[in-house]
Amino acid sequence: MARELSIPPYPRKASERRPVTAWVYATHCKRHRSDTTAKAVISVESDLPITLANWLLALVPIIVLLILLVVLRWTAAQAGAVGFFTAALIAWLVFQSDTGVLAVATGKGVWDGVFILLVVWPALMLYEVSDKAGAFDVLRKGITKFTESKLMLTLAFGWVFVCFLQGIAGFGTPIAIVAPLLVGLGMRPVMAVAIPLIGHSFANMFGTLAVGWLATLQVVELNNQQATALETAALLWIPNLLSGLAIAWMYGRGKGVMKALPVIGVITLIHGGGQLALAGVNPIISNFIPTTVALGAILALMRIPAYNKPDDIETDIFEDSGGKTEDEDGPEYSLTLAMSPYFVLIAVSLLVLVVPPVNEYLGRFGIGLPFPAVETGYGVAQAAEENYGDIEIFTHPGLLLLFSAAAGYAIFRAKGLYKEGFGKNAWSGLVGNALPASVAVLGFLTLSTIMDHSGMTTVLAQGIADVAPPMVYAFAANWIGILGAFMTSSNTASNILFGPLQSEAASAAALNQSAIIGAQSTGGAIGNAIAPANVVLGTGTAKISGQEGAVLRKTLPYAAAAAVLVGIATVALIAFTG
Amino acid sequence: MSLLRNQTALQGIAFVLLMVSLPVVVLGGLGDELWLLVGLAVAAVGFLIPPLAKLVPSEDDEEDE
Repeated sequence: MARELSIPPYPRKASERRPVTAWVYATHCKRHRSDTTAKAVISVESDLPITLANWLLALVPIIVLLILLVVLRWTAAQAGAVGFFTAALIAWLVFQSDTGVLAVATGKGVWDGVFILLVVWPALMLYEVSDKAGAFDVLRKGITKFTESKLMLTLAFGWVFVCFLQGIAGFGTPIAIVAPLLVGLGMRPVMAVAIPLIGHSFANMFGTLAVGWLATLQVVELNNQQATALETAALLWIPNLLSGLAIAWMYGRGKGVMKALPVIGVITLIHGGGQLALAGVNPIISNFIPTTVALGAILALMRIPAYNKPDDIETDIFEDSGGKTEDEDGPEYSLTLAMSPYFVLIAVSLLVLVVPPVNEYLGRFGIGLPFPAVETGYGVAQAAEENYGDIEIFTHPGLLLLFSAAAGYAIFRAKGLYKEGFGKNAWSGLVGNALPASVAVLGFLTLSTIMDHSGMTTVLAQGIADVAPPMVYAFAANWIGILGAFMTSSNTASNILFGPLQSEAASAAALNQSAIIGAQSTGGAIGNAIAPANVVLGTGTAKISGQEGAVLRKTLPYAAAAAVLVGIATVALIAFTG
Repeated sequence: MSLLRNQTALQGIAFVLLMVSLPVVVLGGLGDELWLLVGLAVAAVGFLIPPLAKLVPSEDDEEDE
C-alpha cells in the first residue's frame, strides 16, 4: 500500500509567507521533485519485494559506478553512462519498470542535471574571465600580504571560505568557485578539488539558509524539533572537526595537523559550536552566522606570526609556485582588482539570496516541466507533475555566477588586461571542460532518478532497516544518509528521500527519533564529499575532467572515517538520551 | 573519421542528444506515449557515445604516441 507524503502548497499570497523561508521553501521544492501544486507520492510500503537478492541487485549500479571511477579510472562521463544503462537494465528486468517509467525518470534526471549545469557553465566562464586576465597570478603573489603560510591558505580557502559560500549559495557553487581558486594558488588540481569537497561537507545541512532542515520538517513529523536540531548540530560537529584535521593532514601529515591544531580548534569552535548554539534557537541562520564569523577569525589568525610566515613543513599538495616564480613577468595590479569578480559574486549573492524582499520578488520567475504519473509493476508510484523541478531563473546560483563573470569581464577589459585571442581561448577552455562534466552530471542524475522511480533506492534503505538490530541500525543510519547524498549530490534530497524511512525505522525499533534523523542529516552532509556529481563540478572547473577517480580516492577515506565516528556518536547519543 | 577521434566533438554530440531527449520525453508525457519511447531512445544513444568513444583512439592519444 502506497503511503503519501504530501508537501503543503507554497502560500500564493505574499502576506502568508514567512520572509526568510520564502526562498528556502521555493528552492527546496524546485530541487526535490515537488512543485507548488502537486503532491509528491512515494511508495514506501508498496509491493516491492525486499529480499537479499533484490537488495544486492539494487546495489549493483552504485558498485559499478565506483569500480569504474575509482578502480578502473574511467572518466566520469563514461562511468556515468554505464551506470545509467546498468540501472535502467536492472530496473526493467528486476524491478518491473516499463519504458514509460524509465523515460520519465530519464527526463527528470536530465532536468535535474540542467539545474547543476547552470552552475557548471557560468562557474567555468568566471574562471576563464579571471584566468585570461592573469587574476590568479596576481592572487598567488598578492595573497602573501595576508600570509605566506600555505597551510593557512589551504585551511582558509579549502575549509573556511568554502563553508562560508555553502552558508549562502550552496548547490555546488562553493566547489565550482574554490577549486579553481586553489589551482590558481598553485595547488595540485586533484587536491584543489578534494579539499573543498571535504571542507564544505559539514555545512550542507544547515547551510544555504537551512534548506536541508526545512525540507526535513516538511517530510518528517518530528516529535521534538528543538532536540532534533540540537542533536543534528552535535553530530555535524564531528565531520566539521574531522574535515579541518583531514585538510591539515593532507597538507603536511602529522606536522601539518600539529601546526594547524590551534587554528582548527578555534575554527571548529566557531563552526561546530556556533552552529550547535544557534540550532536550538534559529536553525535557519545557524550555519550562515558561524561560517561568516569564521571568515573573520581566520583573517585575524593570519596576523599571528606563527601563521604569517612560510611553513617549515614539507608538502606535496602544492606545485612549485604553480610552476612560476614570484619574480616572473606577470600582470601587475592590485589583489582587490584581481578578486573583483568574486567580490561581486559575494555581494550579489547576499543581496539576492539573503534579503527577503529582493529574493521574494526575483523568485517569482521560474521554469518547471510537466511529467506524467508513472507506476512500476510493484506499485512504486510517482504522481503527475505540472511544474517539476521549478528553476527560479533570477535567484539561481548560475545567474549570479554569470553576472559576476560579466562584471569581471567588463572590469578587466576596461583595464586593458586581455590579450589578443581572448575570446577564442576562453571559449575553447570553457567547452573543453564543460562538455565532459555535463555528460557526466546527466549520467549520474539519470542513474539516481531511475533508481528512485524503480524502487531500487527504497529497497536499499528498507533492506538495512528491516534486518539490522536497533543499535546496529543506529550505527548505520548515517550511512543511509550518505547513500542518498551520493546518489543525488544533495543533503536536502537525501533527507527527503530517506527521512521518512529513518523516522519509521526509529519508531519501529524504539530508537530516539531525534538522534536517528540527526544521523541521517549528518550522513547527507558527509555524502556530499563523495557525490560524483559534486566531484565532476570540481574537476570541470579545475580543468581536470576525467580525473574524478583520483579525487574520489582522496575523499573516500574522509567520508568513511566520518561515517564510522558519526555512527559511534549516534549509538552513544541514543544510549545517553534514551 | 577525424570527428570520431575528436573527444570534445563526441562529448558535444552526446550532450546535444541528451538535451534533445528532454523535450521529446516531455512531449510524450503530454500526449502520445510513443514519444516517451523516442525520448528514451535518444537519451540512450547519447549515453552510448562516451563508453563507445573509449574504444576509439583519440587525436590526443595518437599525439602522445
